[in-house]
Amino acid sequence: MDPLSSDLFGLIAVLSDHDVEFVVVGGTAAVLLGAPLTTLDVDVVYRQTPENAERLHRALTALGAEARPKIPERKLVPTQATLETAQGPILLTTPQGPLDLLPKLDPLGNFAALQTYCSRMNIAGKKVLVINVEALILSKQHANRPKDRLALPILLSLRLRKAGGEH
Amino acid sequence: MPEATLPKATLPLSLGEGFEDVEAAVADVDQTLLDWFATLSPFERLEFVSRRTRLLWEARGSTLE
Repeated sequence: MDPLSSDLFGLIAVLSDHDVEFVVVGGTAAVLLGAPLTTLDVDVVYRQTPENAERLHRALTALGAEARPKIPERKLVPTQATLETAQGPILLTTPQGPLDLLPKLDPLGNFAALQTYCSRMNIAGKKVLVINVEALILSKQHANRPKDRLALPILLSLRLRKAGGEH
Repeated sequence: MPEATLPKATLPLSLGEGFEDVEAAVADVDQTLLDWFATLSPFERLEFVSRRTRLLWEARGSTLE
């Protein structure tokens, strides 16, 4: 994986162009919501239905995605069945940067459960579901890794601004 | 900017025990930077962060495997 090729919008655009049902979460969602954080990858929670798994598989093929970390001489790409039944994260590398596919986001749940906690955002003409700041704070609090704790003050600040009606 | 389409999640303002340092750090957040970032469109925010990430990794001369 070469982070020098990091193209957050490019990854989202390919998923959107293939009509994949997904919600942007994690660091990229924080950036979209107004947090000037550094993030390497795009994390999305996707709907695990046969139809969406098929669309997602086509998008991954178009992206040239393969499993992360790479195994020399062996290109591993998740199958449609894997996408439909995965219980945990699927970590991928693409020429446009890392892509993490999540069947659910703790402690909030799967794609259907996240519908309560997201808004649709227009990103250069692509209508994309993005987790809201309150739910992102909850997920970061739950994950509680050092990088999550670093992001939390900024997210809390954004939430206070939102509550105050500044932005 | 995002349009509200669905009910909002609710979250207590206080994160609670173990997060006192996180909540205290809110006072240190650079509000000028947030003001500037808020003027960018979502696309511009992604492009800015992608570009900054590339520059940081170039500076480190690193790749991530």
